[in-house]
Amino acid sequence: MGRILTVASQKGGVGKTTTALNLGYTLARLGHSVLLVDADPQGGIAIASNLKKKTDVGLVNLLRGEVSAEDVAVTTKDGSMSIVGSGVMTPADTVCIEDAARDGQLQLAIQGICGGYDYVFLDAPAGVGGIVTSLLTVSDGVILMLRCRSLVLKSLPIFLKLLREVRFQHNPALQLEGALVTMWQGDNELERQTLKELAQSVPEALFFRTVIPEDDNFEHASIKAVPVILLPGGRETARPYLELAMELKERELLRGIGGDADEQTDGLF
Amino acid sequence: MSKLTDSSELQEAMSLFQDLLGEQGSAAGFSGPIGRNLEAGVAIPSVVSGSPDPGIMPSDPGRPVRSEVVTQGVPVAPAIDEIEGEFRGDRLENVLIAMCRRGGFSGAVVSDTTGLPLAVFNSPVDNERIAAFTSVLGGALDKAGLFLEQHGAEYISMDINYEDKVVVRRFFFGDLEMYLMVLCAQSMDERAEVEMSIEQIVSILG
Repeated sequence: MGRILTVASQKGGVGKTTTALNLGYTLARLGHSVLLVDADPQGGIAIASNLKKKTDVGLVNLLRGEVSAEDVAVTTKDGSMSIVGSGVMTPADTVCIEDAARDGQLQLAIQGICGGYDYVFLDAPAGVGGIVTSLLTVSDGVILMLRCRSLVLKSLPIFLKLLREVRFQHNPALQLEGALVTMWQGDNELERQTLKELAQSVPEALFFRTVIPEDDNFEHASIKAVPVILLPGGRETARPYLELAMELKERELLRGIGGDADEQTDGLF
Repeated sequence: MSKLTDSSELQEAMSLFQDLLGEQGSAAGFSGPIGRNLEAGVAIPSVVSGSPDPGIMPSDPGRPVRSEVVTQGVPVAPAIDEIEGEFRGDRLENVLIAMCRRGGFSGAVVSDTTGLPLAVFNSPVDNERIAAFTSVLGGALDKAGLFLEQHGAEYISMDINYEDKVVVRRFFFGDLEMYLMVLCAQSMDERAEVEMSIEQIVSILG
C-alpha cells in the first residue's frame, strides 16, 4: 500500500480541499496512482471536482454497505486519478459518518479502499472532531494547512495536541509531513512579518519551503470544478503545487536514508 | 510592539511542534528559505537558533523502535556525542543517555502524569504500558503519602525480577507532575544520579 496523507487544519477556509485536489492531480500527472477521499461531510472534493456529474454515491454509501469498496471510487475521464466523494446528501448522512468515526467503522472503510494507490489524500473537515481523529488514526502522515493570520495560528495548539494524542494512543507511526502556508498575500506587510516570526521560532524542517500564494485563478478553477492547471492561463498558478509535489517526494526520498556516521553507510548490494 | 509569537498560544504551539518533530526525528528535506517559490525578495530565510547547517538532513525512520526488556546485565549507553541536541526532546534523551552511562542503568523514561513519554532511552516496555505503569505507581505514591500522613512520598523502588529493579521518581515542573523511571540492577545505588538528572531535566523543560 502507498502512503495515506490527511490534509488537515484546525480552522476552515485555509485551502485543504484546494490543496488535496491540486496536489493529488499533480502527483497523478507525474505518474503516480492517486486516490482522493472526501471525508468532509461538507463535500469539499466532490464539489471542487463536480463529482456529482458522475455519481452521488460515496463514503456514506460505503459505510452503509450500499456500494462495495471496488465500486465506490470514480476515475477521472483522463484516467489520472480516482475520487471517492463523501456521498453526503442529508443531515442524517453526516451523522452516519460521525457515528462511523466513533465506532471505528470509518477507519476500516478507508483502509478498505486505499489499496493499490501510491498516494491517498484524505480531505479532512476542519477542527479536531471524531472524523479527523479517525483519519489520523489510519494515516501515514498529515499535511497541516496554515494561513499567516493570528486566529489560524493561535488555534494551532489544540490540533497539535490531537496529533500527539493520536500518535501516542493509536498510531505511533503518524508523521507530521510538514506545515504548508496557503493563501499567502505577499503584499500584506502583516503576513510577511508573521511568516518571518514563524520562520525564526519553529524548527526549520517544519514548514514546507513552498508557499501557496492567493490567486483568483483558484476561485475560477473552483467554479469550473477542475484543478487549476487545467484552467486556461492556470499553469503559473499551478506551479507551486508542482514544487510542493517535488518537495513531498524529496522528503520521502530522504526519510530513512543514511545516517550521521560513516560506518552507517550501507552498500547497494 | 508585542509579536504574535509572544502569545501564549504560539508559545505552546512551538513547544508542541518541537515535541512532535523530536519524536519522529528531524523531518526530511533539503533546508532552504520558506517561500522560495515566491517572487524575489519575498522569501523568508529561516533563522532558528541552533538550527543545523544547510544541506541534507538525515531523518530517523518514521516507525518507533520498541525496546525489549533487559533482564541480564546492563548495556553500555552510547556516547553522548552520537545524540543530537537540537530539540528539547533530543536534549532530554541526551540527559537520559548520559545518566544511564554514568550510572550503568539499562534504560530510562521521562513521562508526564498521563504516562505520555517525553523522552525515552531503551524503554523496557512499550508506550501503552508506560502509561499504565506510571498511573499505577503514581497512584501508589499518592496513597502512601495519604495513609502514612507523609508529604514527601516521591520515590518508589520495585524489584521486577531476581536481578533488576525499576525506580520511579516523581517531580514537578511548575504545577505539572512528571515522572522519571529508571531500570537498573538491584545492587545499584541510583539515587544520586537520578536526583542530578532531575535537575537537568527541569532546566531543559524550563
